[in-house]
Amino acid sequence: MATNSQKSDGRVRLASIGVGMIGHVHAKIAAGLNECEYVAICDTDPDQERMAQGYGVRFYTDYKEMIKKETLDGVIVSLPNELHEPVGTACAEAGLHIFMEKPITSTIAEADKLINSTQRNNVHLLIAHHRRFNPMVVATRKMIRSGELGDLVGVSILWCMYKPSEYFVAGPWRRQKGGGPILINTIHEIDNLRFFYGEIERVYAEVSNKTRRFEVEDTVSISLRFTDGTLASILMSDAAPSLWGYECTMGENPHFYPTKGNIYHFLGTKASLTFPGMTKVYYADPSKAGWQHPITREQLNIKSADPYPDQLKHFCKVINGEETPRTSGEDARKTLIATLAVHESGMTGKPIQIDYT
Amino acid sequence: MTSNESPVRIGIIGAGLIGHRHIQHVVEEPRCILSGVVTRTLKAKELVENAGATHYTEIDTFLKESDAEAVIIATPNDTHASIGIQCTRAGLHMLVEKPIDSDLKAAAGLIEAAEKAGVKLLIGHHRRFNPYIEAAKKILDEEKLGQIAAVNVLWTVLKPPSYFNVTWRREPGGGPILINLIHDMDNLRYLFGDIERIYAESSSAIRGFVVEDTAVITIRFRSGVLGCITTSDAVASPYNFESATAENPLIYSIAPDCYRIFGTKATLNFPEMTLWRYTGEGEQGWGDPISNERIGVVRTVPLVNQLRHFCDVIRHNTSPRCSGEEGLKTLEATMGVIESMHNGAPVMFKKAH
Repeated sequence: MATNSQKSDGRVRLASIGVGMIGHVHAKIAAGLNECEYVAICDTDPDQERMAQGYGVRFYTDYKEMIKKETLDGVIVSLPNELHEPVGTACAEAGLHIFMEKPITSTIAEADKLINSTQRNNVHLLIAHHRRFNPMVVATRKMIRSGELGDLVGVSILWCMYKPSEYFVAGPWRRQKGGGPILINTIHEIDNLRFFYGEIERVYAEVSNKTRRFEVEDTVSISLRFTDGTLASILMSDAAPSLWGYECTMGENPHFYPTKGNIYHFLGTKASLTFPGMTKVYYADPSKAGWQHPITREQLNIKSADPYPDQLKHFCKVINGEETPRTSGEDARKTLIATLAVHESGMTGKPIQIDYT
Repeated sequence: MTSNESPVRIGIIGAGLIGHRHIQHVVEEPRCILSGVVTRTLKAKELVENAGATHYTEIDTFLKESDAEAVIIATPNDTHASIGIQCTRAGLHMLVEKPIDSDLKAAAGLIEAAEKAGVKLLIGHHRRFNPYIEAAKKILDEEKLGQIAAVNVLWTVLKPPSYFNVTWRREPGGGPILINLIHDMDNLRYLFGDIERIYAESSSAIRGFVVEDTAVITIRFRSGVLGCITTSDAVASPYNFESATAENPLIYSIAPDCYRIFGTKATLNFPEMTLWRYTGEGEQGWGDPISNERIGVVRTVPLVNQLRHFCDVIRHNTSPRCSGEEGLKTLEATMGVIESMHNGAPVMFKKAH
C-alpha cells in the first residue's frame, strides 16, 4: 500500500501534474477543498508558477522530481492523452493513487499497462469521467435502472455544436488523426450510455469531414446496440451551430454559452424522458395507452450541478478507503474500447462487434 | 378537346380509408370533377351520386365506359403497379398512392409503361405537400442553414394492442419501417437527395413479433450529409412527425421534438420552425450567444395541395413533385433499411437508374 503521509486528520495530500484548461479546474477545487491538503503543482510551462504561487503551493516543471521530493498520497493527472500511461505508471510505481483525466489512455495496450501497474502497486485508479458526478445524470441513471420508464427500448443522443476556429488554432493536433471529436467528445456520450444503462455490444458509424475538410471527422452518425438488444443512436457534429450539446445545455462549464435543448430522449415502454428538460411523458391510464390517446407530461424537478468538486471529494474518499472508484480503470477501458470501435467502424464502413477482453 | 382551364375528369380506384378522403377532396375541388369511383362496396354512395359520378365495381368496365382522363389509385400496395399498367393502356394520367408498389420490379414496370404511354405519373407521398415540409424545403433551397452537415429524426409512438389484431401487422413487411418510416424516408430524400449507404440495427424484443418494433438507422446521403433515425412503435412517446405537425387527426398531438437539421450557418428545429444561429460580430462558436428566428407556416391540407398539383401536372405540364422514379427510390431506400437489419451489414445504393 502507498505510504500514508499525514493522515491523522483524514486529509490526503495531493498534487497536480498538468494544469492546462481542465487541470486548472481541478487545481482550483483542490486548493479550496477541506478533504485534502493541496501541496504542489507541476507543469512543463514555467509560466504556470504564478498559478502555484496564487494557491500557495510549491511548483515543479519535472513531475519525477516532484513525486520524489514531496510526500504525497495521490496525484491529479491532466496531460495530453499519450502521456497518461507513462506518467500514470511512474506515479503508480511511486505508490501514489491516481486521478487521471479521461480518456484513460489513447490505446488499449497503454490502458492495460497502466491498469496492471496500479494493481501491482496496490494503488487506486480513478478516471475523470466527470459527468457521472452530475446529480442530473445520477438521477436519470436511477430512473432508468429502477424501471420507472418501463423497459428502456431506445435512446437518441445529440451532440451538435460549433467549435470556433480558435479551438483548432490553439490545438493544431485537434485537426489531425487522433484529435477528432469521436475521441475527444463522443467518448463522453459513450461513457454516459454505459453509465446510464449497460454494456454496448455492437456499433456502426458513418463519419464525414466534408464541412471542415480537416484530416479528422467533423460529423458522425452512430447506430449502437446494447447487449440486451436495447438500441441507441448518436448524432454529432462540431461544425454546426446548435442548441443541442451536453456542455451548452448542462452549464457544467462557464466556457460554453448556456442553451436550452433536449439532447437525450430516453424511450421506454411505460414512459419517455427528455434530458436535461426532465419532462417525463406517459399514458396516465394504462387501459388508454396508445397514439390516439392524450399523453401526460410531467415536469420533474431535478437540477444539474457542478460535478467537479464532488468528483475530487470522491477521489479523497477513495484514497482513504471509504469509497471504491466510480469509474475504475477497467470501466474506463471499456468506454475507450467502445469509442475506438466507433472510430474503426467509421474508417472501415463495417459494423464492429465489441470485444472487451 | 379540353382547354388548359377545363376541370380535370378524375376517376378513383379503391375507396378505403385514404380513397374515401380522395373522393371528398376531388368533389370539393373546383379544378377537377369526379367522374367515377371503382370499388366493390361504396360507403360514400350519396357523396358520389350527388357529384354526378358513376360507381363501378370492376376496373375493366370503368376503363371502357368512363370519360375520366386521370385516375387516383388507392388500392392495396401490391396491386398499385398492375392496376397502374392497366390504366396506362387506357391513356390515363395517374396519381398512385404511396408506396409506388410493394415490389421494386413491378414498380419499375409501371414507370416504364407510363413513359411508353406518354401519361403522367405522380406518386402520393403527400408529405411533400405538407406546409411544414414545404417551408423546410424552401429554407434549405435558400441556403439559410449554409452547408448541411447532418439530420436527426425521431419517429417514436405507442401503437395500442388492438392495432395488432390484424395478422399482417405482426409479420414481415407490416412493421413500422415499411408502413410508417417510409414517410420519413421520403421526407429525407426530398430534402437531402439520394442515399448512398444505409445501416440499421433493429429489435423485436418488446412485443416478440416477427416484425421489428424498434430500429436505429445511420444514413449517408450522396451529398455527404449524415442522417440518424431512432424509431419505435412500442414506446410511450409523442416524438414523431404526426404528433409534431398535427397532420393526422387520429394521432394525439402535443407538438414536440421531431426533426433537427444541422448546417454550418444555422440549425432548424422542425416543425417548431425555429432557426438557431449566431448573430454576433466576427468569429463565433460554442461560447457565444445563439439566437433564434421563428419561420411562420400557414396550415394547409397536404392532400388538397397534392390534388391541385396533380391538376397542374396534367393541365400545365408541371413536373411531378414525386415522380415514379422518386417513389421507386424511396421504396428502395426503405427496403434497404429492412435488408440491412436482417443482414447486419450496410446496404449500398447504385447511382441513378
